[in-house]
Amino acid sequence: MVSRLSARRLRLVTRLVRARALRPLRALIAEQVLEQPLAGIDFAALGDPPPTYVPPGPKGR
Amino acid sequence: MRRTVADFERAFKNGCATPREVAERFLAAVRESDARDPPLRLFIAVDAADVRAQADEATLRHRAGRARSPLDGVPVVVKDEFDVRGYPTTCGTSVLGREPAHRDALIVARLRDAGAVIAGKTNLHELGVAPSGINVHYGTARNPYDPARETGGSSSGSAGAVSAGLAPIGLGTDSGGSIRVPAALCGVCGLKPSYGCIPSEGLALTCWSLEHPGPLAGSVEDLRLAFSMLTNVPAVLPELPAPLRLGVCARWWTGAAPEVAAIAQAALRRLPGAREVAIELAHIEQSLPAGTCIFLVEGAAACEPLLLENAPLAPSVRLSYELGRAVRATTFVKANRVRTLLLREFEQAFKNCDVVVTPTTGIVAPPYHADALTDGEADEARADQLVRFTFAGNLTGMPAATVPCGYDASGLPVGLQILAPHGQDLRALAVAAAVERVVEQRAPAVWWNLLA
Repeated sequence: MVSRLSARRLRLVTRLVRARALRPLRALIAEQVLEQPLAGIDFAALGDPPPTYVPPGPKGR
Repeated sequence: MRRTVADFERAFKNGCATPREVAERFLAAVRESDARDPPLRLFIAVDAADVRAQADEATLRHRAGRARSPLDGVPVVVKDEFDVRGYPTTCGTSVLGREPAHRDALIVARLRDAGAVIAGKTNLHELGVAPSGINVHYGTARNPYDPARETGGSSSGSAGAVSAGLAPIGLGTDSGGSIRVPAALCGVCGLKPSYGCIPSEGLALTCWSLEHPGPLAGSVEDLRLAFSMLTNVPAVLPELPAPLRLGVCARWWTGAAPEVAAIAQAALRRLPGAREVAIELAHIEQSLPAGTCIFLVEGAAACEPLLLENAPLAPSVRLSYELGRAVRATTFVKANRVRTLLLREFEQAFKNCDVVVTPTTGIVAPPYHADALTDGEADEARADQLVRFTFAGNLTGMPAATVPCGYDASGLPVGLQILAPHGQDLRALAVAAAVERVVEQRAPAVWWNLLA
């Protein structure tokens, strides 16, 4: 879990992740914040479920 | 307390008020709401001349005894992600919507055809990215129960406007809780319908597989009415089974603050003929990271032109989407496999219960941080507390309603979320109506009565 960013730090981090030269930093933060929480799931042990990209169900008109 | 559609209909029928008089009170209330300190900033745009013109037409219809529906002449407000004829669609940004829309979104057109007065475009978190009411471009929406606190988001203005009595019904969209979170924090009702059951033509989608258009309302009855009009299908609430089996996943509930969980529990225990059934949702904790991942990746893809042209987005919005752009494709697939697991687990759970219940949010409306008003909020822990119960509904597409179920020690509302199997939206609403009947309703600190 990432601590709350103050306005000054938020501006700084946003500037950094936008910089092309710092793409690895952006990837590192994404890995920590978005990818790490999904890392520990053993899908094989859960029957190897396929992805579902859109919820099922009929469309309204 | 807040006026319902039936109150407006009765007043118009018996001559106690006309749609034009209500429109004038609405316009005066919006002006007052923005003259307060701090301003409530519930609207991005209100075209007074257009509101008066619609109201005048409705007044003539009522005088002639030709009202089109119970909504004829009643103000309805619309999140600024839907096209409304004559208004730009900004999505809460400073760069979109340079030209006014030439036609209404399909569901806005349905409300207009029913005679509703489309009263204004409501504020939202920029591009619907986060569950607070902060908008650095149009001002931050304020919670009518305590203007120092968040409305929740992203449908902040619609929730705040309904809460403050400015309209009995508002339109919102929900990709991770954006109808239910602000509805809960502002003490009103909301429905994220079954995925796909309300058409999205004319809605600026920022998240294709998670976003659901839907209504917010001051009462469950008005939510039912709105659902019926938006789906274009008559909607009658079903009889509830006896006993009503309420599915409770105890592990999921531990994510709520103890006071919030206790208030929601107390409301459930007051429901006559209901009993709690313990259910297991083995991967429910993964709904939050999986939902967040899909939400940001799809959002970054939808908004890529804005990112590439360095559009002036709030730093917090920019940061969120930059992280979405950096997620690996394999992680995106993994998140969508979690969606499959959740679909299976809820399908299994619904074999033993009629609905699944949770608090709608883990906390009550938090106070705004002063430094967040200029750059946006970047507080992962707070955002997680707001959406930890809502993402599962977006991932699975099952309907989820929220209804006020009590108030904390400082008088802030708590919402109860009711999840039902896909297509059983009316079952969720019927349970919400039963909850509404057994809990007290308190007026917010700031509200207007458009019928007096």
